[in-house]
This record gives sequence, structure tokens and C-alpha cells, in this order.
Amino acid sequence: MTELLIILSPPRSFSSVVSTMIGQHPDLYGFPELHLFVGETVEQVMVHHKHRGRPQGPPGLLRTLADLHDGVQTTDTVLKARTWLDERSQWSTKKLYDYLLEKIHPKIGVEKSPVTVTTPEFIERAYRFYPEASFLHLVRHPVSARKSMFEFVDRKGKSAKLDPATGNAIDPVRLWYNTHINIINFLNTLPLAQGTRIKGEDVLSDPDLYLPQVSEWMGIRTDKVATEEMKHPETSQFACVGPYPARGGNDGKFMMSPTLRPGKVKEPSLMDALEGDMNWAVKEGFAPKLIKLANQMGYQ
Amino acid sequence: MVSVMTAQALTEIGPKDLEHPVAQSASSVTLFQGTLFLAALYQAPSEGQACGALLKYDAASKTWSSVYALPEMGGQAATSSLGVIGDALYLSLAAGDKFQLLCSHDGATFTPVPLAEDGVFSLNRAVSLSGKIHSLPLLFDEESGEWTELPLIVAAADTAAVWEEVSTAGLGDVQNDSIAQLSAFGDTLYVATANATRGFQVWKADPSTEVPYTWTQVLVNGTFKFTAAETVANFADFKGNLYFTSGIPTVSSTKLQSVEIKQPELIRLYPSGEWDVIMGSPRYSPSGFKIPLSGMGAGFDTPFDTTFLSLVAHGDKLYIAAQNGGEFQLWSSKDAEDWEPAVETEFEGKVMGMQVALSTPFGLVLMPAIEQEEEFNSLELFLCS
Repeated sequence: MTELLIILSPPRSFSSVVSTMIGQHPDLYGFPELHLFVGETVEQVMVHHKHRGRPQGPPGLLRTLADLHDGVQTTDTVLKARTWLDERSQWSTKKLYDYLLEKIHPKIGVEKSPVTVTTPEFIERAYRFYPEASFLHLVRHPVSARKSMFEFVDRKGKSAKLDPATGNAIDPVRLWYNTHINIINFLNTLPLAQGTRIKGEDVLSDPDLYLPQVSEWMGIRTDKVATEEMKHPETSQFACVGPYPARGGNDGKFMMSPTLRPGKVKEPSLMDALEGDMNWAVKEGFAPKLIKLANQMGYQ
Repeated sequence: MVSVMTAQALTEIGPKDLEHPVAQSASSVTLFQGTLFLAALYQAPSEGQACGALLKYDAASKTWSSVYALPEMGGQAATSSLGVIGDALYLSLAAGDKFQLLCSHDGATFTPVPLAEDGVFSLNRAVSLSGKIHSLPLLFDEESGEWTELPLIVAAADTAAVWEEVSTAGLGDVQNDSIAQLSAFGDTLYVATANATRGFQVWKADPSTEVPYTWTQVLVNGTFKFTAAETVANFADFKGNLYFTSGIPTVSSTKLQSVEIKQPELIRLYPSGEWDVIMGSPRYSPSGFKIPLSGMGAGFDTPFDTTFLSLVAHGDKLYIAAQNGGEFQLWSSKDAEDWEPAVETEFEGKVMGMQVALSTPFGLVLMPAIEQEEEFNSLELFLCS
């Protein structure tokens, strides 16, 4: 049995719903996005978030502390958590993570912070902290992940990242590609069975088939009762909008509508997209490596 | 490992042969009526003629003798295939756009086999089942100047008969690039396709039924390794199950009959259609979570350094010929799960492939393709007994 399950996934790749589902297993505790691997110390994590317009720190971390300290997430308990965190700004993030894992013991933590995969440095920090952890590579079709990223940017009223060289907006499918390469390069260094890859579409389309397989890999219960609990992500204490000032912690769309929708998740055609609004990838010579990586994951 | 034949040994056969280096990649080996036969192709640059000899090996005296001088094949690079169909030994020779098929019932005298129109087929792919020969049609590609296999399966009552198509091209899937392997398993014909978009597929058909056969898809998506399992390199019928190696074909692969694969995995296919990963990475699949039963990942746990050259059942063991960082390895297992090195040997030059891996009554015969500076290298044939 593992000490921690770390889900490695780029943003907009079903990570909130799939991680929450897995975290609902009776032997597991699904954390929201803790973002702890972005720094060596709590102070560094707070600074990282301050620079990104979140001076209170990672909302998922504040909600987790509120939940574990007070058993309830309210503005009061979140502010208490923030104070508690300030008093421990010199703690290493490893010490803080160990603290959280001790609090949830004997349950096993399920970590999912999409920011972790944005640089090899963050992934390597996660591994350095937890070399015995299990790593689950969660993937989603590049076209639907890209569409979801565009929707996210629109919804948040954010502007897309710009290429410093050209000044043009960077297509999110490049983020999809780069983060998966980061993950694959890392997983290729792991011993057998410490890392596996799963398609988010498979989990959502057939949870009864795939969730017990994830449990089997982790060496935890695979019975129907456990699987049934995993099929109800909406019962997670983090599957809703949090109290001010920690409203986030998971994907906003998921928190607004966390119940699993039955039915097969469709996979779009990469070739059609490359003939359409992703045609720039063909013109810029990016398409072959994108197709190759998508094919490796089972996407067409 | 004992060398039964080297370039030096070959030179003892006759003065004429001494003058001609062997085109090893064009030569072929088979077992017929308990005797090992070798079609050795030579190249005589000064004369500009491809030629060669059929030799047979006497296991008791450990000597080779020439039994047949191969017909001249013109000035172009030639290739040979040896195969046994029914009670006859067949030899096919291809040079340029010329293709000859010869047949012998005694291993000494050969007669040309007249081929029906469009009847050129891949002899080394031939599988006899239900009183019919199954193979792949060959087509001469003017652009590459080589004979290439068409991605469909044909069958005929005998080699001179008109071949009938028993499958559609690519088994009806346009993304199937080629037919990677054919194999008889019990009374059933099994076929693996190479697919660079979604990973290999395995299909089966009952050859006793009317043509075209009804094909059943057995495995898809490279057993859910997708394009990391683009093709199947070898099938081996071993102790009641069908085993195969799968992976990514290496750039150096030039002959379809000896495909070397990177990130190589070993899969066990049961007659029921169920399957297990024996060596390879764990994966999620519609038929459950698969963990490697050998406890090893791809390529004996070194997936990026190991290339599988061949898989063959011999005696009560399954053998895998591999190379790891240029070093040749031969592994064996009695149950396909617990593997041990069968031999330790070093070759002068990097082993690039395995031209032949053949089970014979007197041992496992291997003909490795060894990287050498000369285009026509020495012919090295080994016996592992």
C-alpha cells in the first residue's frame, strides 16, 4: 500500500472530478489542490500565490486545514487556518505535508495539483518528498482539454498567455503537450508499477470497470461498496465552492456541478481539429509531435 | 553456444565459394525432413551476377555439403526464402522484379513451380492449415525496387493454384499498415497487424470455413499500450498458449520476417481470447488491470536499452533473443514467467537482428545479423543445444 497517491495531470483534464472520485474511496482522503510542491517552504508557497493574485494562499490548502482542524469549512475556520499557516511560514512544505498526512491517517492522501506538472522542478520535488508515492498519470484528449482551457480563460475573464517572442497568444494545446512530456519523462524514471497512466474518459465513461482497477493497483479494497462510494464525488467536503476567502481548491465547474453524469464521454477527432482551428499546428510543424503523443495515449 | 558454421567453415565447401562473400541478409534457413538447409547467397561483384548454393548440415558429422547450385538471378541484389509446405521443401528467389519458386521433395532436386498470375506470395509467411496454404501476396514496388507484402491474407490449395483473398485489406481497418505476423494456433489462423496510429491488433479466423473467412478481433490497441506497441514481432505456440512480443519496430528493421522491436513486451494469449502481460508495464484495460506476471517491465526491466530480436519455442522452453546496449542476450524460461540467461556470448560486432531462430532436433539454430563494415558480411550460424 502506498503512502500517497499523486495524480499528475495538466489543467482541464478531468483532474478535479477523477481525483475527487478516487479520493472518496473509504481508505483514501482526497485533498483539493494544495499546491505545496511549488516551493520548499510554506513562505515560498505563499509568495508563489501572492504573485499570482491569491494573497491568502492556496484555497485548497486553507480549506483542508479548516476541515482537519475544525471539522467544518467556514470563513472563521479558514481565517484560523490562515493564521495557523502564517505562524508556520518557516516550515518546510514537506513538514506541512507530513502534518496533513498524519492528520488523515490511517487514510492515504490523494494529491492533485495541476500546477505540479508545469515544471520538472515541481514534479521532482514531489518525488523527493515522497519517493514511495504512487503516481497516476491522468490524461484527456488534447482537443477537449484545449477547448476546456479556452472556456476556463473566458469564464475567468483572464487573458491567454503570450509568447514573449511573437506576442501572440500561446495555444493551450502547447501547455497540454509540454506538461505531458514533463510527466512522461518523469514516469520513465520510476520503477515498474510505481506509475500508471489512465484515460479520464475511460474512468468517467465506465467507473465500475476502471475505478476498481485503480484500487487494485494501489493495493486497497476493490469491493463494490468502495467503488460505489467513489462514484459519488459530490459527497466530498471539497466538491463545492468554499467559504470566503478560500472559495476555490477545485475546478469551478466541478464545484458547481460535482455529481457524476452517466454516459460515455465522447472523444473528438484530432485530425478534424488540425484541419480546423488548430491548423496553425500543421503550418508551424507542431502537428506531427502532437499527433505522436496523442496516439501514444490512445487518442486519434 | 557452439558455432556450427562460420565464414571460415563456409570457405571449406569449395574454392568457388571462397571467392564470394555471403549476403547474409539475403540468405535463409529451414528444417526439412530433420535436416537443416541453408540457402546461401553470394555476390560476385566482378561478374555482376547474384548466385548461391543450397547447403545441408549433417548434425552427426557436423559438416555441410552443397546439394544444389542456385540458378543465376541476374545482376541485381537477390533474396531467398526457404520454407516447408506439406511434404515439400520450397525455395523462393527474388532479384529485381524477377521471382522464382522452386520445389523439392528430396532436398536435392528442385523443379520450378509455375505461379498463377498475381500468384507471387511470401514463402516465409506461409502457414498450412485445413489443407490450404495461407500467406501474403507480394507485389514488386518499382519505386523501391523491392518486393513488398500486401496487407491482406490469401489462401490456395497449393503453391501453383490461384490464390483467393480470405481477408479484406488490413482486415477492414485502413489504419492497419501491414500484416505483421501469421500463425497457426490449434486449428485457428491468427494474424497480427501493425498499426502506427492505434497499436497492433490480433485477429483470428477458422480456415475450414468458406472464403472470405469471418474474422474475429481478439486484441486491439496494442493491448492498451497503443502506439508503444505498434507491431507484433513474433508469435510462439508454447505449452497451450500463444505468446508474442510487441513493441516499436526499430529503424534498422529492413526485413519484415525479422522485426526487431524497442520497448519490447511479452504477452500471453489464451485460447479463450483472454490475455496477460508477462513482461511489460502495468495497464488498465477493458478486461481488467494487467500486471506483468514475470514481475518485469518491458525488455527484462530495461525498456529503453533492450531490443527483442526473436521469440521461439524450443524443447520445453521459450527463448527470447535480445540485445542490450549492443550486447547479445539469449534468455530462456520453462513457464514464460521465470527467465534466466541461456548463454553468455560475445560477437565481434553489434548484433542488429536475428535472421533465423529455428527449433531443430539437434538444438536451437540462430543466425544473428551482425553489424559489419562490409555490405556483404560473414554468415554466422549458431547452435544452442
